[in-house]
Amino acid sequence: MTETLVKTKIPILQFDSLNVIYNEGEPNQVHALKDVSGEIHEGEFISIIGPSGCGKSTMLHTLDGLLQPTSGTIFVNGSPVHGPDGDRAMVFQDFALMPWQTVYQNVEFGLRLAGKKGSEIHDKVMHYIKLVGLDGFEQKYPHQLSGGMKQRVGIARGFAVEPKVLLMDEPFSAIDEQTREIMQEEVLKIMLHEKKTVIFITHSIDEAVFLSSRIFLMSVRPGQIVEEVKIDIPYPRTLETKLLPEYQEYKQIIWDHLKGEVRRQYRRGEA
Amino acid sequence: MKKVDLALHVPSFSLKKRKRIPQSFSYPSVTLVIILFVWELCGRLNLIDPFMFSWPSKIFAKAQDFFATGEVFKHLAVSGMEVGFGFAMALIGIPIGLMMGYWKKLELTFDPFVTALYTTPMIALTPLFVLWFGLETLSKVMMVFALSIFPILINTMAGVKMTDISLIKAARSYGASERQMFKEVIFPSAIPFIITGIRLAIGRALIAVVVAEMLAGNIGIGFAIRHASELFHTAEYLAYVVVLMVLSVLLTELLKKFEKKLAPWRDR
Ligand SMILES: Nc1ncnc2c1ncn2[C@@H]1O[C@H](COP(=O)(O)OP(=O)(O)OP(=O)(O)O)[C@@H](O)[C@H]1O
Ligand SMILES: [Mg+2]
Repeated sequence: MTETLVKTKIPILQFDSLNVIYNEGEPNQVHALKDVSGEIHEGEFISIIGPSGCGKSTMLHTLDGLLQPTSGTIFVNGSPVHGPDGDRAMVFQDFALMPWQTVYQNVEFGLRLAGKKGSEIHDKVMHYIKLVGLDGFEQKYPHQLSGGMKQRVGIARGFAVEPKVLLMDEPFSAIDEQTREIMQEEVLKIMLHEKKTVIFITHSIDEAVFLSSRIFLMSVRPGQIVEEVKIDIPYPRTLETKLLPEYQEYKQIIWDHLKGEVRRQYRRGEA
Repeated sequence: MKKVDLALHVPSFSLKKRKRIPQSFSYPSVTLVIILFVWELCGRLNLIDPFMFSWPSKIFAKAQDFFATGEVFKHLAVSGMEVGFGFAMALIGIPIGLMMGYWKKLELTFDPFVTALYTTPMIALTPLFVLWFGLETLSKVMMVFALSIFPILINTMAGVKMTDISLIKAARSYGASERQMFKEVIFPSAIPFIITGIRLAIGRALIAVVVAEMLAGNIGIGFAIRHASELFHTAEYLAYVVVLMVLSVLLTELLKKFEKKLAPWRDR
């Protein structure tokens, strides 16, 4: 029941040979993404792992529509993407909260931009503020919050627009271990109950194996998806999942791969 | 960062308990008192020729005079009105600056001219303005306008361009229209810069009104200063200058308070 990968349907997100080159033709040109292709189906939880600077954020921004790829196409439910829209919501690596808006106004951001009235959305906004554990901080400004709290405001802002696909760029990096576990459970709950699709960047192998149905492993720059690891552990996953022998095996596979990539990066003198 | 914060907060906290005057006020006050004292002493010891210069007690006495007769208010009302109108007109620099900062093409088209006009000592145009707009109020209003619009415009433009790119990305990602982008991101981000522009503009507006009144007209603070100096009433002349000084300091302080109200997210 929880394995919702119905392969016959059109993928919710499909991308074909995406290339992103920053400052093309100039001396400081950077080939950030190279021939990245893939299909993601509704209800999947995809994690992207790869060394720092390999193009993970670039890939997520491209999938959101924020970044026009140098070449390649993206389809959502079969129709091409021309820019950001309500189907996908982004949780940014650098939080990107409006400093002049309170926690409440920041969480409300996407709904307000969509033209929803303040009274209609109040309950929804409060629901997501509570979900990330920031009850009582609605009227605070971002500069009055800790790094982890800011990050949770960014997560609530993404959840609040209730998109089909959630794009999360290292969303838990500044959050303490205990809160992180709660947040992981919440994301899984949302994904299972509301059939959301999640694309998730992380540097934590444990987090990736625990959450994902599939993991994309990326190479050093130019970023390519060099391997896909399917995690065949049924949802819902609990803390006991972590004790399964296959859980440890998956972690080992990914660890070995990453070590290889990081070595390559060091040899090129880039890290 | 944490350590610095602590070091900064602990003493200010204990100060608050004893209800001391803030140091940003008490320190310069001491300097001022010493300067006034030495200056007065020089005057009393006949080190200052009253024809060439004056000293605090004489200046103060003159000020008392023109406050008592109401003479100063007559001039202040006219100058104030001129600054007020000219400045209100110069606020058009805010929307223009917003647009020029946002649309690259507008900036490319007009920026060299704006910069040229900003850096030209436009005060040199005063005689021309008098020729065009007459000896009365209008020429002064136009001078105030011409001198204060550019710092406002240029700072607003800089504010727009300093907008954090990741905030613009976030707004675009959540589907902001052009209008929403201005309202939610660009304008709030530019507010502190706009206020800096206004602060610079106030200084230039005062210069504009005083110089224009000195050159032409028969009323206003600038005229009063010229009149007193022509009669070699040095103390009276300096008293008017002091009034101007106090006014500009008050205006600037008022603006700082205003900035705190407008940009509460910037309190540190
Ligand atoms: N706007 C830009 N202009 C030029 N180069 C860029 C730009 N953004 C990113 N890059 C470069 O593209 C490469 C990929 O960057 P990206 O942010 O996608 O990496 P990442 O995998 O998310 O890294 P991290 O794990 O550190 O967040 C980097 O080498 C970076 O320097
Ligand atoms: Mg990144």
